[in-house]
Amino acid sequence: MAHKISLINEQTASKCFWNKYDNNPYNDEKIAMITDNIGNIEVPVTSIPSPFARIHLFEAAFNYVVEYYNRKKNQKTINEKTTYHHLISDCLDVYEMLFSYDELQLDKKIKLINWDFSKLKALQESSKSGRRIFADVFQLYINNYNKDERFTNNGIENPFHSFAILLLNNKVIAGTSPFTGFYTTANLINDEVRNHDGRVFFSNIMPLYKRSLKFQRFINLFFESQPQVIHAFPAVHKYLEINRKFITDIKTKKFISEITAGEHLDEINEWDILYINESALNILPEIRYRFKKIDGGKTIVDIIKKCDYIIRTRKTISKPPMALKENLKNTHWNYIKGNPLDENTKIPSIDSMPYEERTIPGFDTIKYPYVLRNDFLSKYIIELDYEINDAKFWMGKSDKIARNVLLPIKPDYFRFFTIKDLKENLTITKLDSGSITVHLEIPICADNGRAKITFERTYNKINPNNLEGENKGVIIPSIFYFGIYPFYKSKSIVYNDLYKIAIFNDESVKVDCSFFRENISENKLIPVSISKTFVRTREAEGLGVVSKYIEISKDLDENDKDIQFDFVSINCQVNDFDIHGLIIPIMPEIGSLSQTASAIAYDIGTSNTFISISANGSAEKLSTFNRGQEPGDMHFVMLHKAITDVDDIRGSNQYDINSRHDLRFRPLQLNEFMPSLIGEKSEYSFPIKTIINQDNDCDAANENNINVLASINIPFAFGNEKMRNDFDNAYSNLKWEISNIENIAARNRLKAFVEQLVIMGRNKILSEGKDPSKTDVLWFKPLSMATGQIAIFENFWNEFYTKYFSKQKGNTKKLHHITESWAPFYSYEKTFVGRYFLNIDIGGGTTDLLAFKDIKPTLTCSFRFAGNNLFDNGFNFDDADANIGRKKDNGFVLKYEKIMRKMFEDNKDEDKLDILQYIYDSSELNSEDIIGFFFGIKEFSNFLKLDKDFMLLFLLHNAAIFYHSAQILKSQNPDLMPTDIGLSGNGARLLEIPNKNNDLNRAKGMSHLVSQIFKFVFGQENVSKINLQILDNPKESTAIGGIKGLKQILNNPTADIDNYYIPLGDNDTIIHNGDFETKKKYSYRYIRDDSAIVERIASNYSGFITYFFECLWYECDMPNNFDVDKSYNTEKLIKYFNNPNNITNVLDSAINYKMLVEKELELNETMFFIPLRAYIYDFSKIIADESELNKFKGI
Amino acid sequence: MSKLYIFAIGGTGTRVLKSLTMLLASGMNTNVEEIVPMVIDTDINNGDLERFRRVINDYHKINSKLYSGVSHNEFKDNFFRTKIAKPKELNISGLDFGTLADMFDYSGLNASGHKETKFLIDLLLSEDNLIMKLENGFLGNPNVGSIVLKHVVETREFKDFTQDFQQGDRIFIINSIFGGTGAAGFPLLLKIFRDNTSGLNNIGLINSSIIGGVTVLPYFEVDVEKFQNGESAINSDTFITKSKAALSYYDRHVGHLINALYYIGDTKKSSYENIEGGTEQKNPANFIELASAMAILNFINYEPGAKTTDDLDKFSRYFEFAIDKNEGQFNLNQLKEDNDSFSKSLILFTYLSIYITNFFEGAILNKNLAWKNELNIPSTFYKSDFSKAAISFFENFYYKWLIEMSFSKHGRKFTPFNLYTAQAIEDYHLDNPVKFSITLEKLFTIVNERPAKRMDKFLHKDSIKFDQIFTELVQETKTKNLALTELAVMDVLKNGLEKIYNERYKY
Repeated sequence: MAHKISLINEQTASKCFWNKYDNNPYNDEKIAMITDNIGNIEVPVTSIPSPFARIHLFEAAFNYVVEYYNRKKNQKTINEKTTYHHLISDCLDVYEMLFSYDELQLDKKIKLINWDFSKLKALQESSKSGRRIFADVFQLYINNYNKDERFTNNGIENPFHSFAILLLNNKVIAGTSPFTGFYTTANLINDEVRNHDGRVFFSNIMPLYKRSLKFQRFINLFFESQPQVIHAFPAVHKYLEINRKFITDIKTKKFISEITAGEHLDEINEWDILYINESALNILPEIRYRFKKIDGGKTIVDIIKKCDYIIRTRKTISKPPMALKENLKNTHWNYIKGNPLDENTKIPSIDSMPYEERTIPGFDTIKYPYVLRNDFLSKYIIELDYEINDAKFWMGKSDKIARNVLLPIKPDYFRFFTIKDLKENLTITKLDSGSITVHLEIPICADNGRAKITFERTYNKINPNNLEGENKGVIIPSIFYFGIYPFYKSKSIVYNDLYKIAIFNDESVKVDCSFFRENISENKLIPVSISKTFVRTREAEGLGVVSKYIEISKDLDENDKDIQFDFVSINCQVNDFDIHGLIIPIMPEIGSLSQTASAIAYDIGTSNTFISISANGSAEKLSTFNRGQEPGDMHFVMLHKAITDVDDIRGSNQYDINSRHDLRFRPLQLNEFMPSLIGEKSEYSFPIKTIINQDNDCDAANENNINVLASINIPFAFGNEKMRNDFDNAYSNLKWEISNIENIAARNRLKAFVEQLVIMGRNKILSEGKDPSKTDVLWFKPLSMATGQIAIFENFWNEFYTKYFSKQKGNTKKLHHITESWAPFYSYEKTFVGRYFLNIDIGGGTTDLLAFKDIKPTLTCSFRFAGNNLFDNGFNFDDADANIGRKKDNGFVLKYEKIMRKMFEDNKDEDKLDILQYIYDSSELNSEDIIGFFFGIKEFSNFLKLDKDFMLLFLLHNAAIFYHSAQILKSQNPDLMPTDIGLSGNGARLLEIPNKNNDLNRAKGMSHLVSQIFKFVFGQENVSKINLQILDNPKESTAIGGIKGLKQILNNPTADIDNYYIPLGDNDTIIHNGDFETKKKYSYRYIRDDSAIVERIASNYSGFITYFFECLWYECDMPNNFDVDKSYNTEKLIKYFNNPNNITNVLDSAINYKMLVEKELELNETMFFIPLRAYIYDFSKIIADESELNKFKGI
Repeated sequence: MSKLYIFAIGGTGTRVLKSLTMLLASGMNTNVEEIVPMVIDTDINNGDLERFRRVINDYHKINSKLYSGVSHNEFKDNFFRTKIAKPKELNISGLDFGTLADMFDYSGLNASGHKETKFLIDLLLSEDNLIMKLENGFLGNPNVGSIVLKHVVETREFKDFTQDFQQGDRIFIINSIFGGTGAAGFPLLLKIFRDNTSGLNNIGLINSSIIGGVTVLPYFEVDVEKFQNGESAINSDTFITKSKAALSYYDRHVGHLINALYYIGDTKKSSYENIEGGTEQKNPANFIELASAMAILNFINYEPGAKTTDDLDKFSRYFEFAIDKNEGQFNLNQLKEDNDSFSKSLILFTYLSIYITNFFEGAILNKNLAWKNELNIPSTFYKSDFSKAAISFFENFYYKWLIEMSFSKHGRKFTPFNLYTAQAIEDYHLDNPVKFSITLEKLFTIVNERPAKRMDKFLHKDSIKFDQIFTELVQETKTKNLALTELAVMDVLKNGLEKIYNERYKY
């Protein structure tokens, strides 16, 4: 099947290109399926291509609401606040206002104007051509409308030949319409007319069933007794039919149902025909409108004297309601005017009038609020298939608690009571039979305030259609999971700025929720509005489960807005039943914020990301729970209870959706949202892979589609959990993908990655009671990143910092960006006073050099050759702009993909096989991502350590870094050789592979090789061995060093830039960053055009290759000390790695790429590594092919 | 079919016509004697319209140089084959009226005895409708448009059209439902064409003629901020809601007047700048417009034997467009075809464009080039009007059209060819002719995800040698004894490119 390009989602057609249909694909039913934003925003609608658009619009409004109701079948659809509901209400206002013409004494205010077709003729004779054209168009359309079959088939002749126009205080307000009876002007109606209740017509929205009962009786009779009215106004008629379902007044309901059965139809004549300034108001040809003549008699509203039934509550509200219950008998308690409740007074079980509009039972004339069982207690109780986490969600008081049901309390309870009231008065008990009884006690004033009325109900597992009697309710099983992030409230309202709610439900259940905040002084609910909702795994995707993410948030300029919520009303639709349940999360409150300084450092690397937070003087990893109190204060809390009684369920898994639950939901939590615990003690912990996971339907190029923890998220479980190729797309290389500045999607993805980390970090700081605005926020940038890209980073760091940390536009005082090379130096325990120290930070994508003489920085330098370059695709400069699917043909992948796959198969490790397949199939992931996944499996490094063939590439790669680093140092100061070399960054771990163990200083090991290289480059005969320093977790050194050294760095903030050098890539040209003259000279264009420069770079590279194979190979005895294959023929290798044509070709393409794609003008990093990078890739493929490899072995 | 009159309304109308011009230039479908564009726009300074005027001008030059005097049935499927008449602009400049109130002298209605009508107008039209300036179109108010556009019928061009109309001619209307001009003009024109009492010339013939139309539903949105802070009257937030109302109107009041109604719109939206008409309104080409242009080709072949509505199998039919998968970016491979004719035309045409803009001048100036010498082409030929128009067509329009369709602001990016180079993009943004320089290597990967077959040997790279192939085929052209040099050149290029296509792409 092909996909239809249509306004309706997910439509299919039989073939590509144009498909033919006999019927209109956009009929009313289909139009209703088009999603628009009416309801979210109020829009003016003038879109019908006819001069009579306005009268269409009113019919469209009725049609829309009717269709909407037919789809949803709930009362809410009639009550919404869209433009369409407004138009309907205005139309009904005209009907009602004219119906009350006499009662409201409108004869002085309203005038009638009759327009007829002959008026057009007069206009057509006008001398002005514009008027003639106007008249022609009207005639053309009127002729057409009059032919409409709804008129011609029903004996309605030329309804468009005349219209009545109504003026209020001489201004046009409404007119008759052959489609809906009446319609109103598009201009504002300024003059007020109030109905007998004081409501101003044309102000708020009022559906028909809430209007005066007399009017409702009349309007139904008016339609049903005159078939032509129904034929002409079908949409209005359907609307009337729907409203009949919601009339609660028994008499009115009965009367209307009798009308529809054909009774009372003659009574229409008992209503008078409406004459306005002596002219009858015709609503259609020969159909006259009617109205109510005043029949006198006013209602008197009495005031409640002393009544014992008034509730007692912690709220202070002006009209506390009475609480009443069916069959209530108590002769001691006062009801009205000091009298007890008359035993003949029937208390209804339900009253659908708003509380303010209720008249108390037995006294039709007294309007006063009272409450009934059905106002507070739901008839249905939602039962989940898991136990609820009662430590985090309040579950009702009882000894024998029903542990898996939501509270069957309606939000209206909180109009009159507080959560504390509820906690004292609600008991939920599970009986042995499985039934559940709920008692809700309502304290009332009787017996000096000691009396209570109990609303109770017993719920059973029965078919809801068989429910009888008010004392019984139904248990409805439902399947959904629910979680809140972050699970706390802050006393500082400014920082309550973002909640994410995750809902995962079975497709058989539709779950919606609304949020409310408690208030204690008004008898109303305070809804907390939802900012965004995003359905990520959609029903249409066919998984049987659905995920929905709700965001409650506020913008930076809404600092004072309160978005805290205290309870959540859950609405489940199960088999067409609408069921409500209540959730009361027990979120801890963070009190006043401590002013002590804290810091957080973000090291977002090419392949890995690490975040460190300063705590009590030391640095620790970012986590999503609070220190020492776990599991007390977790930031992400789900509704289900943790599994703590099983040994093999540990860490985050205890709290996640796990094997004890419905496993279909696990990927929703872990792939789309986040694990319950991140940090120490969890299987998910920093450093993490720099990867983002994006919904398959999300176009990241449009920033509006990007919503962190909704449409896009960081997949912490990547590599541990199976990913879902058909529903999500994972992206890596986030940091450098933005070097193509046209790639907006890449930029947005990187931004989302950062935003999630900022949110998590901020939440952690806040949850520890620290003030985010007093927190130093550090982020790191590579020196070799182009200015354009740095600007991109800077922009969104500024944005996120002000949004989440400082909460003040323009305030970025405590946001610091630090060059990556700078920080690791401070991570070492040891100080290097009196020494010449070189730190080499080898990351995934960049290597940074930083030299310190006697702890003062003397040189910084950075280049894009690092760990990943062993495993990548050699950077195909020609393809880079084509945006084609990524290849996964690096030799390491070619060889080890098979080996690892076999190992997984042998171990029957289906999950690992699935993950491998996922990465392999994903068009957005690369060779590096496969290798990165393998590195997470311990056997892999061992395989590599034993791989004599690939060992050559490791050595070339490592040696080249040291070789060129030595050249760079020497060009700056030819006489000074470093005494110590510190190694940091994840790429530094690769040195351990040829070294075989992690003691890099072992005899004849890596430090020997490094010393030999430095000795050679500096041309010195006798040098003592250089000490290599490496941390246990080299990836962490940047973030930790940043925090530890922040003070020194800020004291001398430009030291890195001041000492920043850019090497050309030949053996001695090095340019100081501040040397603009020289920099200007080395523009890429200049380098391209001067072949001598390219030649010098090429020959420096060749020099390295020759040195490596002719000297270093033997000096270090590589086959013996590093276990590289003995049979390699170094002469053949030199010849292969030194092909001059290849070298200049790749240099040329790289220069072009810099200019055209990255838009760089001036040299921004050394070009030494460019040929090597291409060669490593190429030779890796040779290694993977034995017959090719053999050409480089033996004699 | 004899003639096809295409009424193109508003900005979308001219953009669809531009896409149609590209398709016709590539040699698609020639089963019509002539296409007559009838452009309706209240905004004669509209940037889209101006670009279309220029594109058609080049096309016209090329078409007339090649095929003047050639019979309708010869050289079918050749590049630039179908004759497109000079567009007739039925422009009723909004400037002539000012506002709707000015048009019928609203304030004078009372005094001249039209009090009741004035009240009716007050009720039907809002104050904003009445005082809206018409110079930039109807800005999403088709109810106003439906009145003002009636002036179209009074234009000389419209009268010429009714006068010239003959049996067998067809009418096609392009409109967008969510704007102002298109949405209003479409039902109005249909009502006029189908109203027997309208008194137009040849109303009998027009009334019974076969009429088709494409209604373009929302497929882009504009920067809403400009609407909110009052800089623009266009609010794309309301596009969908408006379209729904209009669709409902079409279902009840329009469908029964038209014979073939093509609908296309997209939930994946492009985002454009918010400009209310004027010279600045130059929206980038979009695949939706290309698909709409294909609707016209489809309509030409819809029941081709039928001359009047009575000959049709069924009075009204509807059409919708589909692609293989619901993806935001796609290329020729995702347009699964029964035969390869669409892809083939575009691929051939793109190779032609590359040849003409990169290699043609060198070939003509090469004294030793055999095919050129065999056809006696003078070295001045590369400076001829024909060559200049062809180069201009590619550099100013075709490449830009392709580049625009691949813009990331589109909800659906159509990227059939790998023409994205930094130089081309820079040219594009500077509004210069797009110089698309190409390496011999890249000739193999010019069609995205459909690489040309290559036969490399070690140390010997395969390449596509245009001139060698043209030389192989030149004798065939010579035997045709073509009087016009232009046609002879085009003939040999066409045959050569066909050969390349068959060798490199049919495998």
